[in-house]
Amino acid sequence: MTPTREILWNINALGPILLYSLMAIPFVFLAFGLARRVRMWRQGQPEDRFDRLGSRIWHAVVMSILHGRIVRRRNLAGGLMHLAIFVGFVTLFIGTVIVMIEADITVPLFGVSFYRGDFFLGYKLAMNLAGVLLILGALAALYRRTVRRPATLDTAGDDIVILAFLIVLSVQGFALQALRMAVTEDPWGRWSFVSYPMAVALSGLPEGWLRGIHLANWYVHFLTNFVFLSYVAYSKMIHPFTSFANVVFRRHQPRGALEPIENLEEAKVLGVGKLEDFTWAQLLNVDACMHCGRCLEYCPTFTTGKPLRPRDLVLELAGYMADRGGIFSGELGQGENSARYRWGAGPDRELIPEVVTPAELWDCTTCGACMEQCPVYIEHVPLIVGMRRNLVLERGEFPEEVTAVFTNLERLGSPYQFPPNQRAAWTKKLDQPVPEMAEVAARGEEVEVLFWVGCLGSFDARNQRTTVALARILQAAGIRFAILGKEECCTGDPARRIGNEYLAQMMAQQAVETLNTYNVKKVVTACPHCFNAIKNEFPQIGGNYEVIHHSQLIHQLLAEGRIQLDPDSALARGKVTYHDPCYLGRYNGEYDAPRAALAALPGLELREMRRNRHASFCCGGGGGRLFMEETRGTRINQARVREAMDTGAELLAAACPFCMTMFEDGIHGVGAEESFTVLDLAEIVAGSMIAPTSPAGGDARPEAATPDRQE
Amino acid sequence: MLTGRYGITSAAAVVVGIALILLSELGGVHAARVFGTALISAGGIALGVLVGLDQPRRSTGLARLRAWRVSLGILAAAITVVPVVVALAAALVALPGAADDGRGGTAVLGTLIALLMLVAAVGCFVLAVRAIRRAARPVTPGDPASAGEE
Ligand code: SF4
Ligand code: SF4
Repeated sequence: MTPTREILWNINALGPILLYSLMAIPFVFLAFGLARRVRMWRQGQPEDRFDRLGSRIWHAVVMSILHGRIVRRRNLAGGLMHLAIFVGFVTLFIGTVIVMIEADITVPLFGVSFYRGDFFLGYKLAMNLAGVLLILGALAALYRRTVRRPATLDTAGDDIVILAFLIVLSVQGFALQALRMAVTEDPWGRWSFVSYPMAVALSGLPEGWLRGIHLANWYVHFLTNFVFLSYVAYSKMIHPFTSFANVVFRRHQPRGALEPIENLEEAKVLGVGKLEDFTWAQLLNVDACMHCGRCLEYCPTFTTGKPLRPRDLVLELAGYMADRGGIFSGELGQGENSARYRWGAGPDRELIPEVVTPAELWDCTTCGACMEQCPVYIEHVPLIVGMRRNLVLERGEFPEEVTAVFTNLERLGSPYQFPPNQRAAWTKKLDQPVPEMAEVAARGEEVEVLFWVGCLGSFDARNQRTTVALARILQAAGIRFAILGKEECCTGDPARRIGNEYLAQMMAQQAVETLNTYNVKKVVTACPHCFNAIKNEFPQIGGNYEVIHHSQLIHQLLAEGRIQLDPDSALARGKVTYHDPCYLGRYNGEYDAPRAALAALPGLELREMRRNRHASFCCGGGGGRLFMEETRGTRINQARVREAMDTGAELLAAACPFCMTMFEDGIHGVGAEESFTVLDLAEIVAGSMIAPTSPAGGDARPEAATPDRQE
Repeated sequence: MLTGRYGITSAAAVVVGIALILLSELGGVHAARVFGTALISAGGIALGVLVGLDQPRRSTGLARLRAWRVSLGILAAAITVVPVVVALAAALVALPGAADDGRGGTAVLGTLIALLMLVAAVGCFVLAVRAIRRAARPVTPGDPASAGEE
């Protein structure tokens, strides 16, 4: 006897007639919902995301199947839960298609049956396994949402209904199989390891009852499937479609590069003031959110109780878009799609401030933790900066403190009120002179590398110490370098992230012109913000250079033995923890070089903070926040300092002047000046250098670093 | 849209598809089923896409659906769950009879599985009804600025 089963067992002709005829209904609903969404996205501005379509689709398929960004070490339980639901659901869907191919195509058209024998037994096993996975995954999700309720999960009715649907559909499937097998008593029934014991239990009932209950369940099962399919496009369950589309059409530019406003002088729209000002891909972005809340986990604003919650910002935008697109009501102006959110609903709201508030927009540090965590590549920062641009450029609305920054940038080329001719004032603290590019060029010489000092490194007294330390390292290693001196200006990073694209472009243009005038090939900088702008944004306007961060250069110099460290250095002793700057780590993927540089000092014991590397926690200074008051929630820099102190370290190693400023303030804020110190990596290394023998070297000890270390 | 060429073609595809299904099931021409299914699916998708891409317009039918959504949701949840609850409950009731035929252990295991599934199904029903009622609550416009301070 060949193992197989009768498809549509116990079902008379009415069953398939209803099943196939009613099939049109879920397809209409599903297609309507998807098309309505496409229509909504098309309200956005044009943007070319169709390049390399094949590889885009392939990547999305691989990401979906492997759950690459969903199952992560830090989200293992949630990731595996989703994987179980995904694998279970997809396998059961494929199983249904296989049955349809057998029943509707191969048998009636070609007289060929493949749904038998070993294939059939394997199929039964796989389907039972899939059903179990789906039920367990969905139960775990329900448990998380209704019992555990982590702070990052916001559960709406829809989330519960979807999970209930999945569980009930699977239970119906098992019940149907058990009822059938209770009557047919298949000798191979054991392969259905879940349904079989139920079939045995049910076999005590009269056959008529079993058939009756089976028939009722069959009809209800297919109707439940149809209702579920019809519901998909109007619920969170749309995410397999929208998230997949979002992964296909994700931005391929470096993550650290914000798109400039093209032809700024002639642009009709400055930033995003209304929904239609987003690009279509950004509208798809917000529609792809699957409400997982991962973007909240490392978000400094959420964790310090500020209004900005990246997930909610995205969902509010999505709800607003649905309201305006009439996605649920089929009637423009009648939707209440954002009813799941707190702030009201309806399409007649103004984007800013009624859907997204200025407070939310200004609180963002652009740290990128949300984008790093988001499993479906939603890019919150470009959305936020787009709206900031509108506030700044169209409405002239921005935090008061920023006014001086803009004025200084415009007049002096830096956010600070220092004249450009003071940019090189720090060089006086060095024994050896530091040449400026203008002199080098005048002598007809060339340098190996241009040292881009940055505004904080040039003017801020605390950060000047890092600058001096780095210069000493460069000199000790015998590197021919120069600075731009008074010709250096801001890269435009703070202005761009605050939303003043006009100033940002002006600064960047000026910087690129200067660099190109001197035919600069390689740039080193101690500032990850400058590093990111020069590396990722300057190419947008014709500035192409090899850019290295000082941590990378220091690591390289140590590896090549070009600088020697004193293993008994008093400075480099004890426990140290390292803070990953967002614009070095998350935006540019450099996590190892700073750690390797620290590891070169055997007296230092590196203690990692709980949130480190790609899951690092922002210092609170990015996105122009360094220049703004922190009036809402608790202080981000203090939260990070406390986390650093929790490691037991006495020294915090920084690699960014913004972080340095925030941490100095944070240490003061938590009252830990006596017990905890922050030093830049360059200060630690320079302070531990053995005086070089190279003729280019001078005294390797940074005059400022050592005394500051609290022993 | 629906009255246009594509709309009429799509609707016609669905109608012809249904006719083919009738032919397949009542006339015994099973080879017609796949073509009927294909026409119904394609017609349904095309209709959905056409309406979806069209300008949103007032629809009293949808407005009525919205108005009744809580009752409809609860009714649908009940219809969905009742037959499977009956099936699973039947497994519990049938246990004494099934245990007699030498497969007692398997029958007990089956009853246990049925019981767990029963609990899951009923639990899902309760949670879904609560969720449906909650989701239908009117929105109270709030102050976005205070959202972070709740
Ligand atoms: S960029 Fe950082 S601060 Fe801004 S929303 Fe994302 S995680 Fe929060
Ligand atoms: S934006 Fe991304 S990470 Fe945040 S809730 Fe949505 S899908 Fe999850």
